[in-house]
Amino acid sequence: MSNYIIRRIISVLPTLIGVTFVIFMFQRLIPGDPAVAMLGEHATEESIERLREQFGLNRPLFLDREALADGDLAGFFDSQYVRYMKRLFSLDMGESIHRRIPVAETLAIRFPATIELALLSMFIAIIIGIPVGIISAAKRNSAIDSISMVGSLVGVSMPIFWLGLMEIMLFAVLMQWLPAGGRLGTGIEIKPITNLYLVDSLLMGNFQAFKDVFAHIIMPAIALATIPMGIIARMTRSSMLDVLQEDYVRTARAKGLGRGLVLFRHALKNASLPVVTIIGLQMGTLLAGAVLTETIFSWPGIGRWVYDGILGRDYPIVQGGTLVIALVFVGVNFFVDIMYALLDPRIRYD
Amino acid sequence: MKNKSYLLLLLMLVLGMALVACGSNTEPAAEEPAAEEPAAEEPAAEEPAAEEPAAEEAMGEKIPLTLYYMPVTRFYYPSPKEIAEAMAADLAKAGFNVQLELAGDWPTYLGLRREGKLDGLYMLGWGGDNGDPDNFLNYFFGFASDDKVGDDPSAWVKSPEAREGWYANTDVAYLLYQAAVNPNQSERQAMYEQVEQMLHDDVARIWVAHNNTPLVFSSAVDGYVPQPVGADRFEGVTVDGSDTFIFGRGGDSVQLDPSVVTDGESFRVTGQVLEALYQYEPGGTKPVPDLAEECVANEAATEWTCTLRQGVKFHDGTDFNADAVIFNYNRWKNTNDPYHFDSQVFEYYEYMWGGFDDTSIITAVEKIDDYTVKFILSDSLAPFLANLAMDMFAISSPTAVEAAGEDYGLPGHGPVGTGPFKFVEWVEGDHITIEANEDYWDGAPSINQVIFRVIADDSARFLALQAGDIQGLEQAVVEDLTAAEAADDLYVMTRPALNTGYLAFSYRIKEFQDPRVREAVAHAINRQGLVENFYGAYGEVATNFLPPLIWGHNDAIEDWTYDPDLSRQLLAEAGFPDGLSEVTLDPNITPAE
Amino acid sequence: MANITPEEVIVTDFAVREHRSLWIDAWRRLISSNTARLGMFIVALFVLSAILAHYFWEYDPKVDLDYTLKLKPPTLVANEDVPSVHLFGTDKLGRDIFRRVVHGGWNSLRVGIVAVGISLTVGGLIGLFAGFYENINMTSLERIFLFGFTGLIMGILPAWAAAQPLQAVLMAGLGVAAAYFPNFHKDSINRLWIFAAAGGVVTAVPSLFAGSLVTLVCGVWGILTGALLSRPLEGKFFSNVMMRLMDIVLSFPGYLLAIAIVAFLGPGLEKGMIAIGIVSIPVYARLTRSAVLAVIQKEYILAAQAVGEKHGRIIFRHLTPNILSPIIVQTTMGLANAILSAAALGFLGLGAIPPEPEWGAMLGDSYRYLTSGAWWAVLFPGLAIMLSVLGFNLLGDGLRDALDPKLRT
Repeated sequence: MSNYIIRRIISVLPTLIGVTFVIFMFQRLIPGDPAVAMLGEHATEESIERLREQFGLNRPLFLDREALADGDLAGFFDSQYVRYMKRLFSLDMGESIHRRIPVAETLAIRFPATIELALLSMFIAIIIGIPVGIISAAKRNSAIDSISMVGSLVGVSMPIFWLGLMEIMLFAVLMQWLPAGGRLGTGIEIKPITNLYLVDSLLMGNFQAFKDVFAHIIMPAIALATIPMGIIARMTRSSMLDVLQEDYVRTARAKGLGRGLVLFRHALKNASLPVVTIIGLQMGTLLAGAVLTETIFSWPGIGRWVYDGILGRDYPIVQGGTLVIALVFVGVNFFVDIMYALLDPRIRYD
Repeated sequence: MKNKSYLLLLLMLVLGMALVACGSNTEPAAEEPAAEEPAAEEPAAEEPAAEEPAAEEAMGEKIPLTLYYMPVTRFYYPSPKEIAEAMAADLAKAGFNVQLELAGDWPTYLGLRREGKLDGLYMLGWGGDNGDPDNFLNYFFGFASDDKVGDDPSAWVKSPEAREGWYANTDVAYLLYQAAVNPNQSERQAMYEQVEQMLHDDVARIWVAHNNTPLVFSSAVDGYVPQPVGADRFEGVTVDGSDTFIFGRGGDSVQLDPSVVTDGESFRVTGQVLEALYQYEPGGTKPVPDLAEECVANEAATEWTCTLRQGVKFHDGTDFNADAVIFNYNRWKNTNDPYHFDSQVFEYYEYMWGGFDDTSIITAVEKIDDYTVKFILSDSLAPFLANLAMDMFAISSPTAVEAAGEDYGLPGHGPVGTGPFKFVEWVEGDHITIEANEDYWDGAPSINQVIFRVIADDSARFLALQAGDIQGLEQAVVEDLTAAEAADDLYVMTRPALNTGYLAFSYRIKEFQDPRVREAVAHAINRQGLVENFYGAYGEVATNFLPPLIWGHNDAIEDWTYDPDLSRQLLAEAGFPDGLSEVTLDPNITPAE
Repeated sequence: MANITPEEVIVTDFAVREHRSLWIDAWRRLISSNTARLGMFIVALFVLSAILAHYFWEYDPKVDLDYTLKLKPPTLVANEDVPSVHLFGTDKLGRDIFRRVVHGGWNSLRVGIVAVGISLTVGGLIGLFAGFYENINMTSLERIFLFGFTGLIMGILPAWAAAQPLQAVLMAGLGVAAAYFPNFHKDSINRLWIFAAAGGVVTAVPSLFAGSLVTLVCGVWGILTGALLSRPLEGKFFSNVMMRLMDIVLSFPGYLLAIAIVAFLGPGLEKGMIAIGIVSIPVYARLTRSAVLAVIQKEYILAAQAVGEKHGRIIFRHLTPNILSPIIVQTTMGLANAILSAAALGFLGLGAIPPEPEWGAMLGDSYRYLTSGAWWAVLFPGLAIMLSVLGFNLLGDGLRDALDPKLRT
């Protein structure tokens, strides 16, 4: 088993190196550079040149052929990519080009914001998706089944940015029940402990703050939850149906055990593995959807930040942000694989 | 081997087919609707272009007539994409079959503009920095440093430059040069008015609109003074039933050290905390003394002696005096100054004062006594006082700069100046808090605390105002402003426009080198309609590059009328009776790679 | 041609008849399902309206502008205020939203088809080859191709450093040689040394003129490459490299990667199609590979191999038809995904070039007017996106049940 895990870790390494490479390539290939982005309409040639020099943008991308021909081995390797990799290995994310604020510092605030949103969405998706799936499976081919399955497909098909706009329209503009965006109302102070504001406000025992945080997070969380909700419901239903056909379930029923007992004690337990897997994989999708949700709800998370970073050519932000998201992706995949291997005796580790 | 190559071939074939399908699908989609007149002629025009590329080469490459629109909203173009669509529709009615094009995101767009590669019409604008006409006109139409060959300015020749759309007008450039060194205000004004007339006669560009920036407040708020130049004034603000004023804005500050940034959101905050030697009069553009009591020029206007205000203290308790002024100016000017960090761009110093070190117009700032300094200039500079009053040249406490070093003005090291408010905290991306400076030399401000909150989205910001989360905001969608004016608990105020949105020609397009074609474009666009629809009551049609607020604005200019028929006629006179849908690149103008 | 009737074909080719009845079965199952029928109906409505509108309902977005009609709510009957009927209302430029939504369908359809076309072709082929060669030994010709190609790629660096193409060609030659003599010093460490030395020589010697340091760097690189080429690389190597590449693409959030690709290619619907297509390549590659792995050990493949059929023929005649069902399902669902992603890109301003109507862009332009009550400008384009996506998803779901009776429970 540990052998399997080690081999799995080794197989992740090239992926990670590739990921860093792709991140690097993209930001250098996109035309326009941070110097122009920073200086705007008023830029002078001199200041653009100076900034380029300062960011090392006038160095070659990978290797310096001229330096090599001149016999300068250090110069040969003194390229933008090598500098980038050096910083990466020293775990230095650098600082934002535009604001000169360390990327790690901003990440520490923004990443929890995205995670909080993703976790709450996932929670909503699970508490609705799984029961719907179970009921559909139990009442297979009934009207309830059809309705909930079409409903979950509607969830899967939802353009979340549109749903978000509709929510704002209804609850913020027409009803004026909820704030249209942001993470926290003015004047409400939260001591950052975990930086998950829902948790922090509870830890502080400040119920007023909790209410405010909840009012801010609920709309984006629901918008973000629709797709995983649909997927979880469908997966729960189909794996329940698979299990319900197994012999041991039939035996249990034949023994005269109650329908509910069989459903929950025997079937659900065994149907949970694929559901858990899909939940893990959906975490990644939630992070991907964050760009749009965060845009619409002015949520100060990582997706919108990276998007703005791309637009502003703020390389360190794009690097840091994308890398963290990609690491979460890779990490979740890895974790799911390991879980699978641990839980499912049918998988061989060789 | 056979297998493999066959597979590869198949792969390439399918990929190619997909691309062709994608390409061929667009062509009819784009052309077919243009069923009016150009459609019949278009395919005919295109075929020979494909057949004889060699002959075309010598004449210049043919490209579709393109209008580039900006990827971001700026105050001078509140909704660039929709405005571009409207312009294109107007132009189509006058026979210009325009292809809209988004050249890329903002940095890409600016980069292409700078390299002169926006080949066609393009949208852009300008916001004034110091209320002086020179600041508007010289950047685009004045001599560049390369043009200044020899000692006799009247012999200089304006060369076409990429960032101005390859436009060159030596007469205009020479007049601008004369105006910049002339200390006589009324003579300068006449010169700028003449420049505006010349640009108008030449249809150098099409000035589209000036936008008076709308500010919306809760009716509990009073005493806010919007400034056309420089930061708005918060010291007179009062809020009924509260000692805190919360102001909503679209973006966060970049860094609270005004000398190293260029964004208005930074100046908005530093303008409350720091002061410069001069300031602009409340609500106007005239420079009046601030930290200086007065500045007097010698006869040639090459030396300015400034008497400083006495008894003023920085927020950290240190004295404001001649040493502080000199410390700040030396830091900006001298690239070898220990606090002129390599990582910082003193963009505005370079831009307003002509460069650093020896190239700077300010050759030295000398201390006469503790409260008198003398600026020595290499050449006379007419807008000297207007420059001095800019937010970027506000004086920071030397002690604070020394202590914070490179990090001065970052969240951990707020700005320390002499202004009516002191910096309290900055939560990046969320808010900045400042509080009243009780010891302010001109009396403590009437509000105790000001919070600048960032709400990026225009609509969300307006909703926050309606909900009472904020008490004032800048920039809103036109439809929301109408609602705000109708509401009892809100009111709208405007900041007079110091900006101009324009439509520029790339003179690399041969057709645009003909003034009749340019004029045809000018008559084709319904600017009045654009302004009414997208700027609401807050915009005005531009007839000059200079906004009416700035002296030098030429009221006598007769604006181009909206007249599609005249436009067609002009186009026919210029040799395009069937309209224009394809244009030619001038092979003599080649942008650098 | 004329005298061959369909009956004759069926009678003469037993395999084809068998084959066809399977599809007919699936079709019957498909139309017996309510949800699938609903999906088919929506998809048909969407596709037909898009095509009919594009070819028969003339619309010139370039001149569509009427300030007097801006942001009018939906009307069913013309009145004084709004002299024309606007089923879905009008937008900020006074354009009829119904018209633009219907015409926008054409753009969405194109995005869907082209994007899925790209990812299906590239991803499908990658998956097919990866799955196939993971289990089936390469023929010597294929091995020569693989080794030569690897050598060529590895030779690019020294060739670039010395500013001439010679090394790339030589390395490719070395690769071919390694593949051509697989038994040369086989199972001996000597093979490694010999190839490493050869690699070092062929890269170092041509770069001698460029300076000693260039020679040194190239030589080291050549030795490493030679050592790699001395190994008995197999299909597994190719498959691994491809799947790792797919993992890398999958490690990025889809939208961010698509945004980055569009930022690189420049905006426009066509660029969006390519971006969306590239982003979903790994999905198809993985799916195809696993489908291939599921059938590769089946008797008919083994039999085809045993009688010495060409690999290309095995792949396209025997393998492909038998893995079609999951791919058809994925393609249908992929269309839904592509439409959704295109709308997201359009919403962010990276979609169709205006004034072309496109659903996501319509949403992105109009949501600013939501606070002032113009709900219609946001509601209808969004509904169009959701319904068309739902249609393809329903259809895909139905297809899955129909094509794979085992899953139908």
